[in-house]
Amino acid sequence: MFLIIVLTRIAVMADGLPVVTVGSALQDAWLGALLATAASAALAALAATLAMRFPGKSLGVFARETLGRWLGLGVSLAVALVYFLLTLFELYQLTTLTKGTILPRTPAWVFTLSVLSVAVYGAYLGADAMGRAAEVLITIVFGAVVVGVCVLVAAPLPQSYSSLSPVLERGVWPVAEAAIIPALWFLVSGGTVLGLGKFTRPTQKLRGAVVGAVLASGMLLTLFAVISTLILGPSEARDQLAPMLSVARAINLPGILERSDLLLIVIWLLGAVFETTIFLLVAAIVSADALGLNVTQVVPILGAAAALVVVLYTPTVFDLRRAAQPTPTGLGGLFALGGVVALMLVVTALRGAGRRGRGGP
Amino acid sequence: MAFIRSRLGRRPEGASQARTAELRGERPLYADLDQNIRVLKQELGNPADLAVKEFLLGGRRNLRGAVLCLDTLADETLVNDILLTPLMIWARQELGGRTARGKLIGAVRHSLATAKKVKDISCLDMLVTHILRGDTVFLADGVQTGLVIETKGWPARAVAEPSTEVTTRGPHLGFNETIKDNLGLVRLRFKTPGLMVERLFIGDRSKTDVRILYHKDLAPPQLVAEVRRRLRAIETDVVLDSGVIQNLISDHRLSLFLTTRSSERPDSVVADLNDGRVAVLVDGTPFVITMPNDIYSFFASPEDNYIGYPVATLLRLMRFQGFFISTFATPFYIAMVGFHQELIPLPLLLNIASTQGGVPFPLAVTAVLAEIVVEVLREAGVRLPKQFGPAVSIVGALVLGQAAIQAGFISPGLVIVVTTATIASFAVPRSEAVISFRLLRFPFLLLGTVLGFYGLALGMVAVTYHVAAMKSFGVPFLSMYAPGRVSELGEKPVLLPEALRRPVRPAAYRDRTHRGPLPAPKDPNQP
Repeated sequence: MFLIIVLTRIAVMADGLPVVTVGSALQDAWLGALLATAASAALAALAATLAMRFPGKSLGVFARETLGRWLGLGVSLAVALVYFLLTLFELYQLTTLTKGTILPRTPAWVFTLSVLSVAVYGAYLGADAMGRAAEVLITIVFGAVVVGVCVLVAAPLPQSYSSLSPVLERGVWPVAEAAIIPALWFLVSGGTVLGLGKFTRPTQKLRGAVVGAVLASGMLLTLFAVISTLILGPSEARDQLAPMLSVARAINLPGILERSDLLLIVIWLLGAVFETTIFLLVAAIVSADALGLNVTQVVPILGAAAALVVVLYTPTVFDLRRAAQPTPTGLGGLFALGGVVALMLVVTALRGAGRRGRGGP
Repeated sequence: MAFIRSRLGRRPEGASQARTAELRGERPLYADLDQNIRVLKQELGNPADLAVKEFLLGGRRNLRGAVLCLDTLADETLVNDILLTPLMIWARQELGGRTARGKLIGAVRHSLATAKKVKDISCLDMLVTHILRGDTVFLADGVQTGLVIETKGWPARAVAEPSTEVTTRGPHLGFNETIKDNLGLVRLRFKTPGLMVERLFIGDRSKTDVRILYHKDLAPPQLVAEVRRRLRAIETDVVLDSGVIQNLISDHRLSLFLTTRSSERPDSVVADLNDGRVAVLVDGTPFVITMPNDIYSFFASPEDNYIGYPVATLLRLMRFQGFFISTFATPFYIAMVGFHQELIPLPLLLNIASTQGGVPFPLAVTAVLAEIVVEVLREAGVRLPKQFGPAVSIVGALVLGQAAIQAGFISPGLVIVVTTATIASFAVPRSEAVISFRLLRFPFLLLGTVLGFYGLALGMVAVTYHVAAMKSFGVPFLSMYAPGRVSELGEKPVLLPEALRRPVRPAAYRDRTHRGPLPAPKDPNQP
């Protein structure tokens, strides 16, 4: 679970870096990253607490047990829908960035459908296989990150530590504003725990793993924020669609590597494809458990639905982004996810108190 | 009266066993020797190599006996020494004049047949089966039981150095095609009463002798049961090599990655047995199958345990690199030159452009053609006689490569990349893995040609998913790494000295009762 969560955070950190691009924290973006890490660790801990109340079950099962048949079904399907939309959004991100930076002349649907195919294949193989795949992919990503940092240190770059100060020049609000979106994104990781219910066995120290993963990836987010602010400068970093990609493009090892964005692209691609797979898998598990179906039956259906959306609305499908400003899936969706977690926790706590009051187990 | 009744009512020896065989639906032996010989000849199709020797055994009624075997499968000297000589020369003396029919078979088994393995058979079909396996059958007139004496002996290759797993250190001894020799080679290195050997015959027509080997305390019982189940479920006519069985019992038959491993080195098989794996020996082949398999076995060589730890670790890492270079070098080159020229340093880019400029074919087409030519050369080198193979491969590669560059068919850069990838593939010690990795190169070549790095990354993720989902007899194929434990990383990806690694069995293979550290080695001087 630790590795799954870390790996699903890599892509967002490598390309979007919302802590830098959203809000007006500028030189204090790294503070925003730290704040987001702390907030998201708390949110993820709440989600893990909820998951640990129902070991071995996904949200699709225990929502029904807790909220009743129809309300539980509604909540489960709503969460599954959020994850389905997240899958579409990841497809959008991948397509936009790949087309914009690597292969500009290739039609967008090639990227979308190829990633979707791999994601459907991965989700079809199931959560166990994805857990093992995460262990392999994280090694490659970690290796690429280490090499990237070495290149960064070795490359002659215009670094100005003064660009990180003065601290809190614009006050606390810009920092808090910059932290909101990353924190909500990390909530998605918490939601992932609820979907991959089979990992929540009582013997596992789930909460520690989830919080640890959020903290580890939060540190990486802070490091990326510092690097992009140092090298690009606060204002230019904020204006970039993908600040770390711009940083990587600026790095040059004479005679060896003309540009080092390849390393970042590898990290980002591996992370993003894996993230898409996990989102699709969570959507499939939650909806399958809610409807009493087999996950392997639901995955192809969801995959086909995603492909249909992409094919039918190729020109406008990515308007999801515009329709859901300021984040593509919509703050509403993320808040809905947070609301579900909070609601379930409250109901579970109340029912637990009631049971205790009645002398139940 | 009682004496007369007993004499009149006496049934031939083995009558009760024959009756039991009849009840089981098997054809019992006849009491008449001539009829038995006639039926056996008929069953076997009266082949030219069927040897039938009839003789008089002596005894009170001058009993008749016969020995039957296929002289192409039975050891003639053995048959003469342990059967015919005792029966034809010593029998009269040994049996004397008093031995009756009723005690004949017992007397022959205990006093005359000097073979190590002798057993009673009263079923006609079993006799046919034993004759076809190279055993010799003794029958006597008036007795409904025969004796089967193991006399297998046919021309076999001597034990020699393994041809596919060559090492510089360690024993240079490989299996041969005789299952008995192979079992002996294993036992020689694994002298433990815990070594279990089970026997079964597979193949409706070939009736191939197959042995399952495992250590009763180290191999998980559920693994042994699963191997047994899959082997028994095989329905095929002929098993000519262990590869047939390997294909039939593997978990993922369409995958490029084999979920069972094969070896022709006894030390390698013993190491596997000691790791808690199960081995399957098949008669007629020097390749022994062991299972479950994991991806690290592709990069592990038996000599890793015979050389220093730092060197062994470095060699393992180099083999990993060999795999990556052989699989990704050419696709990476195509992706770089075809899509991401901006990543290549300018002097190198100019160099590549100047050499590629005169080539009339697109880079991807040239790369595919070059890969195919290299594969054909390699395959031809394997098939050619040993005296010519290496020479043809080297001359072919050198002359063809040089001529192709001079003719402007291919750029020198591509030749360097393709040959490097091919040579790197041979760093992988398992020959079966080399083939898999070479084949894996072609889909990646296609992805690199069509989608550049994006395609390569996507392909890498897909292959990772595939491998992560694979299991070998219930054990994850990526076992020891994913799922893995930090304490066990010293076993497979790197090789740490014994003092620094936990002496435990691989987590995925070990039984629940054997989770603790291994017992301390015994003093070799103590019995």
